[in-house]
Formats: sequence, structure tokens, C-alpha cells
Amino acid sequence: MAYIELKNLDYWYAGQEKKSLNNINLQIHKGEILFVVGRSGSGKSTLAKAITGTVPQFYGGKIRGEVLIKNIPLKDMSHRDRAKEITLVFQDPERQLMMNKVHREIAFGLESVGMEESIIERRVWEAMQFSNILDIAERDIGSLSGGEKQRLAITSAIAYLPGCIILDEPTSQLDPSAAEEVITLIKKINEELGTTIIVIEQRIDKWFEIADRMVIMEAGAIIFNGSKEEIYREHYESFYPEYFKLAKRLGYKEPPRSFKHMRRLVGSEQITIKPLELRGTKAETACIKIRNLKVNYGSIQALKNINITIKEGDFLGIIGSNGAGKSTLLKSIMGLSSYEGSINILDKEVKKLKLKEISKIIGYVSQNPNDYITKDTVYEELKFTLDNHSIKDYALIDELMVKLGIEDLRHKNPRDLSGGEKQRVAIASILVTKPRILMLDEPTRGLDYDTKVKLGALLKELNEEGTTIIMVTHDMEFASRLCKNFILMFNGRVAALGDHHQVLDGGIYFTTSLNKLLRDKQDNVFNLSQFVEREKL
Amino acid sequence: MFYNFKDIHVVTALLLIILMTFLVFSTDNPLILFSVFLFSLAIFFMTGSIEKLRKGLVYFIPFAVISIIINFLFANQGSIILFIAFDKNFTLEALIYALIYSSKLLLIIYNFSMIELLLNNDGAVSYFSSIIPKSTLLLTISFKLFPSLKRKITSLREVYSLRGVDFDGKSVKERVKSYTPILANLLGTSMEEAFDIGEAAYVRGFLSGERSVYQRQKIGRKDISLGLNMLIILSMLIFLKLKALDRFDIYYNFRWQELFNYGVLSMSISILALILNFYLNWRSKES
Repeated sequence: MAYIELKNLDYWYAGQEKKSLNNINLQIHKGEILFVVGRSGSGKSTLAKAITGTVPQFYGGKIRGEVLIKNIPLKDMSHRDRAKEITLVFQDPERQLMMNKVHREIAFGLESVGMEESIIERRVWEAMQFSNILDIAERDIGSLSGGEKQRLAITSAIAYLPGCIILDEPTSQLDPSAAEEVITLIKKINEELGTTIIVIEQRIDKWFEIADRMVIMEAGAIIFNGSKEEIYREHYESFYPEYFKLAKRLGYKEPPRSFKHMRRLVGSEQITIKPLELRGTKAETACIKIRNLKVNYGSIQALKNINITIKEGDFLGIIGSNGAGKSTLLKSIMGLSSYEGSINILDKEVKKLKLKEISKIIGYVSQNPNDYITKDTVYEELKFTLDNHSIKDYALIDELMVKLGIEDLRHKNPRDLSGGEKQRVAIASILVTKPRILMLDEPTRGLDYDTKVKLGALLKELNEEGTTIIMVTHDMEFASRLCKNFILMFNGRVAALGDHHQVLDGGIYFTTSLNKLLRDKQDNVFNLSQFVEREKL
Repeated sequence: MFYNFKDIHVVTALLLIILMTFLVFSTDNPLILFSVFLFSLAIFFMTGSIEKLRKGLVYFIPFAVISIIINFLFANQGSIILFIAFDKNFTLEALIYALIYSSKLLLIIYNFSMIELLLNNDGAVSYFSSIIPKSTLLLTISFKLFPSLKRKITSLREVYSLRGVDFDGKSVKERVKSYTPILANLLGTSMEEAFDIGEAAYVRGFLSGERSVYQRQKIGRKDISLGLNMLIILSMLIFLKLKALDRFDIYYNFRWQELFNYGVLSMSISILALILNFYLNWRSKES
């Protein structure tokens, strides 16, 4: 008997004609880790909501078919029994934590399900011990980092001792180290407590390692349901980790069992890999000159004596740990942080420029494309930027929409768009004034693989047309495919500066997974797409 | 050594804040108001939150200056003339009246600052969720939204500055208008955020039936002692009001007896007794 069973499940959100879940038939067994992947809007989160009952109880809409938990129809289970049995950890920890103190937050859920007061105390503190967060028990939640908040949300889930925990993109907002801590904790919960885990995530590599089974969704339906070995035999490369893609390229009939196994496989074979040809910047003109830059936030020195020259037409990736000063560097260049030293953009000192003048030279796309939504249609959103700069040539809007492939979204409300579409609209709303420099802060956060590929193609094209691009990112694969140069930052300082070879090659943490895998065989191997491109040549 | 007063029962803490606020609103007697000020000062001092005193003054001083100017301009009463300008008498009475009224604002600010020091927020959410869950959830969502919206305004301001919005326009109208896109964005974001918080609470079993309470607070000796003290203050206030003993009119027939009479002195002592009450209760706990 399956622990959770979905039978012929269809669901329509209130007021929607189109099904968001389409004939879902799925069995989930006790103690397994199910990894659900798919493009944005494919129905993954709706599936999670159907299992927790928020669809349709909280959202309304129409449902057909059945969800069974331990062979009991979900609709016959009380709200309380369901909450004790299945719980959900959301993408944004900020939006699921209710209390001020860590230990009180864990107790909140237990209080809600009316757990005996004599048991709550033990559950709260034991759950913290299990998750290794006892040291932050008395801390204010507002003072925690994103990773700590997400671990707290997971600890709150464990405290119920539920049969199943569903995680909806739990690591999409986190930096790689925090994400790894979360994944390690989930693995421990599954192994030691036998809790069934359902993970929905766009970041494939690390979750893939711990998953027992994968489900791929498209347009509300399940198009693949099987083991890692089975997925290897199919053609779903978008959902493979990098080493799986490499194994496929190399023509292995059977998939590698793990990253470690793949290293052994490639180590024992003669593989010829053409080294990456580094794409330099042709122009010699300096676009941004930074000299002796220092930025202080109170007593904390966020940037310490930075000296960089960025050439026109460069595609620069700024990488490094959280709090290294990456975003502060971007803000200083844009004139949003006061600084000591000199920042010269196209021979003008930033300090002496007004923000409006800077906005004509630099376009900035923040981490969250929702920040760019204020108007009722995509067209008006782009027109808004032009109007702010008193530009009346509205033909620019049509031209750019065609170029970015968003002309069919012209009359749509930006809030109704998918994550990838919103990202394009945000970029369009910046590019419409044709800035010479484009700055992006974590542009791939929360995007699915296909959307990332499209975004990459767009940025590459813009760069080839002459736009200088500066991108802060944790996504090493994405950066290695696009960037010509890198800055690696730690503790407010530049630790390394240069091209792929100078910054990424031989890196311990800040490099691509393929570089780590193939470094013993050859230098300058960073990503598969470059490798394939080279092979095609 | 600083004390943590948050272990008094949430109901005791709330009643205390309400009583103090009621006192400030209901009387103009400077001695009673000064006693409330001393009580606030003692709480700030004993909890190591003396910076709250300074923060309150930051709001108080400009308000007091404006009140004094306005009162000087519009009030002609009073017999002790400080100076004459533009054929108008500026009296000591007008100055004192403005100071008393503006000091009431200061005391209200201090009262609200004390909430943070006396009330265990999580304990209050926990307690009231078990009595009035829907209203508590609504308030919790609102309180959670404010700080995140405040942070959001800063980041949106940066984004829109670089989209060409001029937040430092020449006229007030221009400056107000420049915030329209930010407000439009915030409206959408806050609605989504509130919905998400509600959904998360639902998933965790909120409103699924009767709630239990983690680390349930019990009415203790300190609550009884403070409760009795508050009851005395409330009784005295009713008595003072009925007998009009706290009346204070600086403009007409001012007599020192209005300021210092047995009723007012007893009331002040009762308020100051609260300080002793807090000190003795928590000192015995620490020892």
C-alpha cells in the first residue's frame, strides 16, 4: 500500500478554464525521497498544495479525483490530522515564520494542532537538537541569516514528527553553502526519522544526489516518473545534473551512480577534451575605473581598497561568499552607497553624477523581477522608464519587445506572467533606454533550466552588440558559460581577478562541478555547453 | 544589573500599559504626569533601555517647540508676562500649558516603548491565539508586514532611482508623485505576502481547533502584587475625578493647592510604588 496516492487528480484554480493539474496518478511510498522537477508553471507547487489540502480548501477552485493518505481520502481527514501528518516548507522562509524567538516558532505549529502541553517542550528542544540549531534557540528570528531561517522552518516541520515533509523550492533563495546545509539536514531527517520527503526544486545537482525517485511535470501532468537510472535512458537532459549530462555526451550506456563514481569512470578512460578558448574583450577602452575604493557601514568595512578596471564590452561575473561585498560593489558603482576613493564611469566620477544621470548609463536588474512591476501592462511598464527619461521615441518599445521575444505579452499584466517572462520584462524595462552598462544581481535565482538558457542567450547577444555586462551570481555553471572575466571576492577584498583560467580553474569552492570532475585530466574545462560547442567545431 | 520584566503575565503587562495611557489622557496635573514619567524612567533604567529616553525626546522636542509657538500665538490669557512682541503679551502660563500638553505626547511615546520591555510578544501571540485566533493572526500578519515593507521601500527606491524616477523633485507634489510606483508595487507585494503567511499558518494547522499553549504563563505573586497596585491607582483616579482633586488650570485661579493636595500626593506615591513593586519582586527573583 502506498503511503500517499493520487488518483486521476484534476484541479482548476478558481476562475480558470485551464487545468492546473491534469490527470495525476502517483504513488509515494513511506520513507522515500521524491524529487519533483519541471518548468516554472508546470504544476509542481499545485501538486504539493493538493497533497497538503490547501488546494482546494484554502485556494478554492474545482478538484476531481482523489488524494489518499495512508489509504484515507484527504477530504475525509480533519484539518488537524492532516497538519500533523503532512507539512510543507515554503520557498521564502520570511513568509512562513510567525513568531519572534526561534524556540517559540517551533512551538507555534504544535500549539496550533493542540498538542499536549507536557509534550510540546520536549518536542521543541529535541527538534532543535536534531537540526543542530540549539545555539540559536533564544535568538530573534529577524537576526537570522536566510539559511538559518530555512533550517528553522524545517525544524518546525520536524517537531510534529510528521509522516511527510514537502519542500517547495527550499533552497532557491539561499546561497550554495546554506543550500548544502539544508540538503544535509533533509537527508538526515529522511534517514534517521524515516520521514517521506517530497522536494520541488529547480536546482538539480545536489538534490539529485539524495533523491530516490524523480517526477517530471509539464503543463500540469506527470510526463516522467521513475528512478535516476530510468531518467538517464530518457531524453530529459534539462533535469540532469552536470555529470549526468557529461556521461550522456560520452555515450555511457549506464548512468554513473554518483559524482564520485563519475570521477572514477572518467579517470579510467582516455577522453580528449578540447580546452576552452577564452573569449577576451576586444575593446581596450576602460568603461569603469575603480581606485582605492572603500565603503563603510558604521564600524564595518564592507569594501577594502578595491582597484579594478572594467573594459567596454566586458562580461564580468562577480562571485564570492555571502557578505563578501559583491552587492555593495554594485551599489557603489551605481552611486547608491557613499564611498571613499574613486569610481570613474566613462570618465565621470560617480560622486559628482546625479542618480538620474547614472541611470542613463547604467541599467540595473535586481534579484527580484517583481520589483519592476507597477503598471497594468507590459507595454506601459516599458513606457514608464522612457517617460522618466523624457524619451518620446516609443518605437524603441516595439523594437525591444521583438528582440526579447515578449511582443505577445504586450497587453498582459506583468503580475500574471511566469518567472522567466517577468525576468525578461524587468530586463526590457531597463534596456529600453539603451544603457551602455547592464548590471544584474543574481539573475538566475528561481529560474528553471530552459529559462536560464534563454536568459543566457539574451545576455550573450546584448554583450556581443556592445553592452558591458556586470553580473553578481552564485550560479557557477551559468557564469562560466557567459562571462569573459571574473572577480572573486571575500571579506570586502578582491581575492582573484581575471579570466576563467585565472579565477575558476583549480578553485576549491567557486568553480564549476565539471572543473572539479575533470581537473585531473585537463585544465580549462568548465562547462558542458562550451565543451560541446568546441566538439561541434 | 538589568532585569527582564517580560515574565509577568501578558494580561498584567497590557493592563499596566493601558492604565498608564489612561492616566496620561485623563489628567493634566503636572505632579501625576511627572510620577508617570519617573515610572517610565525607572523601567527604562532597570531594563537597560535608557536609549529609549533619548529616542522619545527626539520626537518630543520639536513637538514641544511647535506647541509653545502655537500657544504663544493664539493664547492671550495669563498674568505673568515674559516678554512683549508685536503688541502681544507672551505669558508664563501659556508656556507652561504648552509644555504640559506636549509632555503628554512624550509620556504616550514612553508608554508604547514600555510595551517592548514588559510584554513578551510571542507569549502574547500564543496567549491570544488560544482565545481570539483569527484576530491574533490578522494582527500578527500586520506586525510582520511592517518591517519587511520598510526594508522593501529602501530596495525599491534604489531600483526606481535607476529607472529614472527622481525622488528629490523640486516641489512637494513632484516628490509625492515619485513614490506612486513604489506604493503600487508595495500594495501588490504586501497582499501576496499576507496571503502566503496565511497559507503557511493554515498548513501548520492554525484554526484547526482548540490550541494548546507552550510555556503557559501562570498568574504569579508578581502579577498579584502589581495587580493590587494598579487597582489602588485606578480607585484613586476615580476618587480624584469624582472629587475634582486633580484639577489643574494654569490660566484661571491657579493655587498651589491644585498641584499639591493629599489626593494628588497619594496618587503620585501609588504610581511611584509601582517602581518599588517591580524592583522588590525582581530583585528577590534574582537573589
